[in-house]
Amino acid sequence: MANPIIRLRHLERFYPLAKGQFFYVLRDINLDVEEGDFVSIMGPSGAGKSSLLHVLGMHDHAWSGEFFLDDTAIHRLKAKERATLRNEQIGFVFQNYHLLDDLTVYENLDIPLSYRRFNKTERDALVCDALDRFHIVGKKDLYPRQLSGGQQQLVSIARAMIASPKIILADEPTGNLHSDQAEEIMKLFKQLNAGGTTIVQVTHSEINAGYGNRIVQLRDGFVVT
Amino acid sequence: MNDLRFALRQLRKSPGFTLIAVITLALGIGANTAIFSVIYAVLLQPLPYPDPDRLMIVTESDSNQPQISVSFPDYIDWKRDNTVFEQFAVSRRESFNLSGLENRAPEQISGAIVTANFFKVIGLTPQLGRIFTEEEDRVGGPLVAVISDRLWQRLFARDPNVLGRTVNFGNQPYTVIGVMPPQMFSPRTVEVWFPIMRRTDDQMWQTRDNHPGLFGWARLKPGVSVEKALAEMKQVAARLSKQYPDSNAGVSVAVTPLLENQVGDYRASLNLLLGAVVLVLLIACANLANLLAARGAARAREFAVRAAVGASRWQIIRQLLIESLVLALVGGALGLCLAAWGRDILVALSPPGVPRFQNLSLNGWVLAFSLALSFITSVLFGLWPAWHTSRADISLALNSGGRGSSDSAGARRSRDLLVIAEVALTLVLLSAAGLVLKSFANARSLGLGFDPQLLLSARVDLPSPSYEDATKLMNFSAALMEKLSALPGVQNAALASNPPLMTGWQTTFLPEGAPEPAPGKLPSVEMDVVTAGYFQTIHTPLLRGRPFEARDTKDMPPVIIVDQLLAERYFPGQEAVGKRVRMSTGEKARANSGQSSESFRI
Ligand SMILES: Nc1ncnc2c1ncn2[C@@H]1O[C@H](COP(=O)(O)OP(=O)(O)OP(=O)(O)O)[C@@H](O)[C@H]1O
Ligand SMILES: [Mg+2]
Repeated sequence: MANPIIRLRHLERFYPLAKGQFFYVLRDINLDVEEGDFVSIMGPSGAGKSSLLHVLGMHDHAWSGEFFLDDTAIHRLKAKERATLRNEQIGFVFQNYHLLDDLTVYENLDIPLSYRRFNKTERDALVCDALDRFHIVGKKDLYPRQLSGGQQQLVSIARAMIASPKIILADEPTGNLHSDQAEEIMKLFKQLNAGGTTIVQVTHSEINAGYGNRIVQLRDGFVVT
Repeated sequence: MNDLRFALRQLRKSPGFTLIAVITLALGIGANTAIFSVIYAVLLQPLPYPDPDRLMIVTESDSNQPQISVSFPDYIDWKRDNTVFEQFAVSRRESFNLSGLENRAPEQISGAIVTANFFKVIGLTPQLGRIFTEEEDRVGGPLVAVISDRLWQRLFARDPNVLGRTVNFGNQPYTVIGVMPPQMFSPRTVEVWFPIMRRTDDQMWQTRDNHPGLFGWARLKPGVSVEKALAEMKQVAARLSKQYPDSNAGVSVAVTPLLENQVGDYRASLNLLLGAVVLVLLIACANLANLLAARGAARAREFAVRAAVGASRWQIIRQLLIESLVLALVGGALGLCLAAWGRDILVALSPPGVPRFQNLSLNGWVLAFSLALSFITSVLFGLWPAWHTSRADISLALNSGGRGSSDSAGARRSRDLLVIAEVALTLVLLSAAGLVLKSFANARSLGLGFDPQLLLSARVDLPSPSYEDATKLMNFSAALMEKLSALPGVQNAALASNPPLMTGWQTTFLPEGAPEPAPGKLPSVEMDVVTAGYFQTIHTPLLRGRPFEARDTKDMPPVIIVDQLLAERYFPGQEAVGKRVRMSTGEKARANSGQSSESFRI
């Protein structure tokens, strides 16, 4: 069998506190995610789920330990190389959406494509496709502040997957959605997963976790299962 | 393209910031554009003549003065002996009373007597009629005149039948034979040109040590450099010095490009002005960089998100630079409007008598300058904040959400540095401005030696044929003085050959009993011929001795009044009043009758 797509060894993340003390958010994390996995990370608030996801998403570089992505030793890469890899491989759904306030729904979806090598026609096709798939065609010219929380969530999920990443990291992707919509998102994830996309999601919902093939429990920065 | 649209949206979103930035830039770029338009018009724009780089002004020079007017015999020898000039002309500026036109009061016109080849040196042909020929330009030649486009307009309303008309200049009937094109501005502000050689039978012209206000105009042969021309002319002058030591010892020659001759004096002050406005722009840039950096910190989340969804650092910098560029271009456009609007003010402030200052225009070069300046400024004030903003730490910016700014201590420190730089630049500017003001104040308090308040001057030219006779001249001035003094409101009136501070007439000067210096080494001083009430009129106090009085006529022993500077130099520690000196205007020694305060020092 091939090596896991994500491999963490003794990964630690801490924030320095006053007087040489440290607050550990992640401690000695050892985790393998196989290619094609659909992993759900669960745990109480403050357990470090988002922190872990930011490390995986290469937004956070202030950790120690080893992190292999597809056999690439991320811990040895420079920031610029990490960014390149991130753009190629990873789509990220933020816990609080983080849409760009000054761009319309359409433009928010277009943004990841504009930073990659797509021409205008391809971009238009992909954006229209995503608008369709998430039933937000009617909202395409609205700004994020004109959307409900759930609708913003939808846009942020659409944005994460628009450039067809190999891995989707989703931080509570259904946190603000009605259970029907949540079910739809989960089905979509399942579908993407079936197509070969590796998915790591953070969720508090047993039902959502049920869509995945694996659950990782996090407590006080430790993996407990 | 998207970046541009987004940049516009961002700027619209914060109109306050945009307004301040645009106004700051408009003032900075506008000031620079305005000064550059002056520099272009005055220093850079080529003269409106064919091959203007080959036009030279040729004058004599000695160790005291870099440029002295040319003596006529020297000109003749220079012209014959040089091999570097295609054409070599001389001119002399004069004023003429114009009269004899119907329905027109007589007026004073600035004109020049020139050699026939003067127009060939300049390289322009008349737009109407012809110029005078070498044959016409001789002693006893016909009274012909070539007029300027302005004079044609003013006197004849561009009547094409002007050729052959007779106009009185200095009471002599001249026939108009040609009209020069509008761009003819040599010698500066001249409106009419006459043949010069008619006048050369005068003994004053034929004397080699007399320098009757002639200036040489020459066109270099193709391929001859200024240096080479100067070198050869210096050899020619050196030969003349040897041949005529009495008049030409120590006298050499100066060859200056015409453009340099016209505007060289203004180069330093214009560059100083440019330096000042560049400094202003730099301060504006530092200011804006700071504003943008603060704005970048406030927008940290946006750039963190952009980075997270794939923006490279360069892409973020580019977006921010486009925003700066939009600001700079809008500011630049507004600045251009300011410069266009300030044009009239600049023209009004410019020195009179230099036509090039009047030619200010926002032409292609000026537009290109302000466009380039906009680009440069946008990088100057935009790059540093963009660089900083693009360095934002994604997780920090995203996690902090609404909790305060992600401004790092480093960013804050460099913003402080920027403020310090700004203050430093401002101080430099202020102290430079202070120095300029101080030297200006110094110039003002230099002590003119006379009181310009309530002092009026007017110039009188008497046509030479009618007033050749000295008694006629005396009668005229006596009548003039009498009428002037009788005018209500006139306290004092006097006549002088030149007004105060104006370079006039020079004469050699030697105190009696001083050792005879080598030929050509006689000290020379500025002189002025004045009537009795002169010092009283210009309010110059007499330090010692007595003023000129009505009894000092030509039948009396000649007397002079010297200034303090001269007295201290030639009679140190002695009483100057009563000393006798020898001057070139007359062989007799004269007695000092008085000593005025330190004046005429320029
Ligand atoms: N900048 C920071 N400085 C200090 N501590 C931090 C910082 N950011 C996060 N933490 C701490 O790290 C811990 C983990 O936070 P994290 O956001 O990963 O929790 P979580 O598991 O995602 O919780 P939730 O379910 O509420 O989203 C928390 O206790 C939090 O207080
Ligand atoms: Mg979280």
